[in-house]
Amino acid sequence: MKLLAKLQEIPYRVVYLLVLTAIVLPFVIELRLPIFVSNETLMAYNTIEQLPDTQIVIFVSSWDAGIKGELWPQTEALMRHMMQRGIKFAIMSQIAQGASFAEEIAERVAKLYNRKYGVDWCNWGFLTGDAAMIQALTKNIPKTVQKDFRGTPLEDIPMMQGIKDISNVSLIIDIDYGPRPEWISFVHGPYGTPIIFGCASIVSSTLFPYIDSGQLVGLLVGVRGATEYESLLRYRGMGHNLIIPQSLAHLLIVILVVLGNIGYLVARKLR
Amino acid sequence: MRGFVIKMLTFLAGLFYFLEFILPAKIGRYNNPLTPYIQPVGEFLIVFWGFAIGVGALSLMVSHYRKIKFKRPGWAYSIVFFIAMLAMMIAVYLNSTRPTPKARFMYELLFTHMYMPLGATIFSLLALFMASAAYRGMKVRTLEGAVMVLSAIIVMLGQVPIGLWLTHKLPTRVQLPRISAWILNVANTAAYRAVIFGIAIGAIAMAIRVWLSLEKEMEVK
Repeated sequence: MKLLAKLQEIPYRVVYLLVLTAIVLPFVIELRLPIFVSNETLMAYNTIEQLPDTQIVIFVSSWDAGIKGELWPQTEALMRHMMQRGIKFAIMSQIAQGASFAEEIAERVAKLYNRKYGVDWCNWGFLTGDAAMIQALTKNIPKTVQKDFRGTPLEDIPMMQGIKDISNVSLIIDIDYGPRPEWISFVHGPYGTPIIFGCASIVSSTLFPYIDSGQLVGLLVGVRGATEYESLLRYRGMGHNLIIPQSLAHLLIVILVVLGNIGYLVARKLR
Repeated sequence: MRGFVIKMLTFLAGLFYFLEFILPAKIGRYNNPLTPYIQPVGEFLIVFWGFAIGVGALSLMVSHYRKIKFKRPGWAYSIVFFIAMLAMMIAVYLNSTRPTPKARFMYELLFTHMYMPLGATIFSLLALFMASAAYRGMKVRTLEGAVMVLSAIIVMLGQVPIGLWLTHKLPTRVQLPRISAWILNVANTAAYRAVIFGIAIGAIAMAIRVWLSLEKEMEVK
């Protein structure tokens, strides 16, 4: 019984070693697990499947290196889908580094589908200003953005011809650690533009109410969302590689919590 | 006098956006007179925000300079800060204005091969801390605690493929991903919607206080 009570006293170094083993193991031994596609990911997929190719999509990629593991696969999966369908999109970011990451992914994916910069996709770069910038964007895109990430005036970019304001935008995708509700307040609310969010798993619980109310037409939750999207597109990308270590880590944490509680309850009884 | 000017500017700035939002797009034969000004005011604020970023960087530089000047603990790291900042500024400037192979190499080295892995490393340490914190913190002391721990276990396993693998032989309704989805879409949504209402009402109250300069911190001394 005393041994059982000690289950709540596993040294933190042992916990760290177990977590490390759980994360590294799938890279040594190939493991495959069935993927369950959630409703919110399917909604996002169906929205992009039904988009007309006559308007553009604004792809807001506001994440940095710290959250790369969760949001890079989401960004890549969504870009693949849009490039596959020939839907034009404009990348922008509300943080300084975001546009660079998205540009790197877009350049890689564009080569797979033979898409050209300026014709099928472009990068507006870093646009600061939060709600004020979003409101200005809805009224006049060329005046708010002016030049792209590479310094080219917007009027010289072929895909931006005829794009004036929010009425020329068919969808907004915001990939961020915690996507900003300002897109819902200032874009979806007044103009009805559909919005898809991609977020880190830890903040996803705060965004489910928007799915329920119909204010979001899709939500990608962390690596899980990216993996589900990849399975809908029928390819194995970074999401599939990362979901297995995450699964094993989750299972380990659950086992540790159960063991810790067994130890706690036995110790309480022995007192 | 200065305080009055600041309060008046704050009030007028808030009044503009408030009136533009609540006035209808068309009032009889006339369009909303404030809507044409949203875009230039927005541009002005974007430039303003840019200044704020500059002020933030300047404040950081002054803070680290003082640390070096007065040899406060950790002043050597402040020197590293200045070296890193200068190196990145030069690399980005050269790569943007004169993208030679050397400039491109310097940018790739600093951004792709140093900044990105460092950022990812710092964030990945959280995985270890969270595992340890969950193990030590999630103890069932009360009935509510037990419900919380049980929900956490169901959601943690249901949100990853291992949940489906563990319960795939059970009827669909009681598989972990389905139960997890119910917890998130029904129970969590109801609770978080209540939280959002509370936050929204608090935010409105706070916004009115800031707009009317009623906050004590906004007093100009």
